[in-house]
Amino acid sequence: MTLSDGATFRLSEQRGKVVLVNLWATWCPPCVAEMPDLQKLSEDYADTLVVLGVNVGDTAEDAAAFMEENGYTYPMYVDADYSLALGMFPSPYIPFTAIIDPNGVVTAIHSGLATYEQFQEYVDAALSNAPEQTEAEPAQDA
Amino acid sequence: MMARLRALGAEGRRRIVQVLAAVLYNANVGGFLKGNIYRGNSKKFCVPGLNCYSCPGAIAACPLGSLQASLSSFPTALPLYMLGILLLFGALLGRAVCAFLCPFGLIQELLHKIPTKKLKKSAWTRRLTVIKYIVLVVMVIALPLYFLAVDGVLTPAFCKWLCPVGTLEGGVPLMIADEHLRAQAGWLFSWKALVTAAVLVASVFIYRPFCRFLCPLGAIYSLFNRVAILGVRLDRKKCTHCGACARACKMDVRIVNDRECLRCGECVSRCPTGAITCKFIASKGGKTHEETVRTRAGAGASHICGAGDATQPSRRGPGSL
Repeated sequence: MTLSDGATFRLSEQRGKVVLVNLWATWCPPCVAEMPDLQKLSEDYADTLVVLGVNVGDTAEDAAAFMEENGYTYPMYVDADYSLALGMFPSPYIPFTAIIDPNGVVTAIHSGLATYEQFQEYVDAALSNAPEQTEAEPAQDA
Repeated sequence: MMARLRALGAEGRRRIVQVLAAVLYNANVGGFLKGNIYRGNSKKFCVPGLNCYSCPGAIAACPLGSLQASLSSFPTALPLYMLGILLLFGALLGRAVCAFLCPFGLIQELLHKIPTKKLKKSAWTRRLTVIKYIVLVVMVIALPLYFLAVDGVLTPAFCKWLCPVGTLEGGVPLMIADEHLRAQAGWLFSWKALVTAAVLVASVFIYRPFCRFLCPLGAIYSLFNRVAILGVRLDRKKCTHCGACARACKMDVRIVNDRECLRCGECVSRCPTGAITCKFIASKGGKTHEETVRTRAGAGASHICGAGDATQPSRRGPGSL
């Protein structure tokens, strides 16, 4: 996918890290409420976690402006044609969060608002699934 | 003004309230042009009738959609707020919501005005009215909870697979306005379009088919009919059991004010002994029915539930219907 800043993002390239995909919109109050926690999470787990925001229902400009105004720096994709939102997510409600472990397996989903502690629990659980490539210990350096 | 309102008759006055409610629920006219839905704070509240949250014009949420969504945190959090709101509407109005405050009820009634042969109610249609309770239990409560347990996320089964109001008010206008959404339409949209078309076509030949046989919201409110503050009241001392009211009623009532009664008030003028009144008015100190008033053919000058109208139903001989 092409992110809002023009960079290309491939999920397959994130193997070895946990990916947290968060479906959100600027007009959704609980989505907006949990974004500071997501930003903090992305900073606290900078080496082992990628937080990917997937915006649905906003224009690319509004979404990008919102991220910039609030100082959110994690990668963001605008699902302008709803293909991801409708095709891949099981719930019509946002915010929706999916946690993908370092092996590319979805280990947790959360419909609705979540707290920092809840996100942390999901990410820690996913991190404990060691990537299949390494023999003994989980990869700490990316 | 009051004289003109009185002259309209029960059905005419009720129609005005229905249209006002439909317009108020969908006041966000700009949404239709822009192809998006209203996102203001009033969306946190729900209207009493069936009006889809996703209708571009909707300024508030749907009680059924809200009820299903509120089950998302079951059993950690129970949908007490939603149950409280439904309790409030039910205890005040019962199924008067259906007759006065539901846009989809209005749409079905207007379609029924198209002059065709009509399918009359029968003992069988009365039996079929039970289906809506099954829809309530299965599609509004059980299936969403089932998917919550199995998938970890709640699927609003009624909205997704049955509700024609969502397709008519939300799906169709949004699809017309937004090409991206059109591109996403698949077999589910085809199914919903089929259900919607079937209900709308049926409405031409059958009076309020969705309300009578399928609507889970009507099912919820019907549970309150006998205790609701606003209702049609039967004076059993005056009732001669002639059945004129039940025959005249377009819903599948067995007796006036039972679970199928929408409190439209059209039976009030049909009673030969004036035994039927509106609870709301009767509770204010009782009015006698000895006065006769000039009536219009068909409609009759009759009470409209809760309107505080002073006209009385006329005295007619027994068996006048």
